Amino acid sequence: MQDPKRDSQKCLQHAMWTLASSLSTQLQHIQESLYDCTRHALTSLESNDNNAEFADLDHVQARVLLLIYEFMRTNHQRAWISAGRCIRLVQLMRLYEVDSVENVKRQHNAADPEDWIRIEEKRRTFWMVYSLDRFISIRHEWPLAINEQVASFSDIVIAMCSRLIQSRSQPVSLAPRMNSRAAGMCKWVFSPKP
Amino acid sequence: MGFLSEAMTSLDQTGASPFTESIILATICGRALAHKQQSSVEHIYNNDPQHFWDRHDWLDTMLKMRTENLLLHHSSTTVYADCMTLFVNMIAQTTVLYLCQVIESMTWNADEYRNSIIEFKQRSLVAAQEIVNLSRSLSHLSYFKVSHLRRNS
Repeated sequence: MQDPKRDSQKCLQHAMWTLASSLSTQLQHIQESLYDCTRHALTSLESNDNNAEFADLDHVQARVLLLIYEFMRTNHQRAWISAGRCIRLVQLMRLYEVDSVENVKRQHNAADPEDWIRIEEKRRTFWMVYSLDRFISIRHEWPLAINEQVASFSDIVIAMCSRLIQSRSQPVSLAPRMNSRAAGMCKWVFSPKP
Repeated sequence: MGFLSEAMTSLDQTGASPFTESIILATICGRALAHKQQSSVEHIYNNDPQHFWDRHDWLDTMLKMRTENLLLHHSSTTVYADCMTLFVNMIAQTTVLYLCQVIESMTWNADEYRNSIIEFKQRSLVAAQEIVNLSRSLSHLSYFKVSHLRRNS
């Protein structure tokens, strides 16, 4: 029997549905209510001080999808505020240190090391937020929030993705829940190259 | 391929995904933005304009390198047919236009840089034409892949 969904997973699911409906041909009419549900769910998650899922990858991914939706559909000012939340979550979780020497050693010595798929998800989530920070900023000439120094050197690999794409024998549905038609840019990020 | 700093200067792109290219282009965009901000400050303090052109030349060279690399490793069909490759190409061309805008926002007192300015304006005309070509090819792509781009274009 499947474990009940965590709050952050529910937020991510709602965010996916919101983006999917906005890009569908038949479900456009429900995108606004899905968007409101998603925002409400995220606010609820973030208001709970005791919630261990606050700094959780699903929470970040939900915020990223909502940011994309807001940038495409609602006003850019709201999207900019959402971008700030995404970036702060990424910084809080230190996703830019996924491949740091300390983290690699910790993984190597851990009794239950993190799954390589989860690690790659963290990398791609970071690079997604990094890219969005730059593309949105240059569009409006707003200041950048993620310092390039943080991403440039030895703490996060850029392209495990290309290694994964080359080794086609491995299943590369890194996050099947993200592999939705409607996820636009995200779909390409998380799906294997045909 | 490993870290961003290596990827920026590496041309060994045989296995690079368009997502990797988009990260590199995003970095160049970030630097173009920083270049404009730095130029405004230097202008106020009447700093040597050569700093401006050094940064500009670096950005221009990087954009040329990434665009040529993209065309080298993807067929002409893919460049216009694959949505992510198309997006990356569009970002590169748009950044060229942005750099032209940065040049035009500055006041140039001497004729020393006149030829460079004219040459770059010509380059940005080519970039603008390429953006038009890329936009036209959007209409041939699947709705589900590019509907958000179409809506905003």
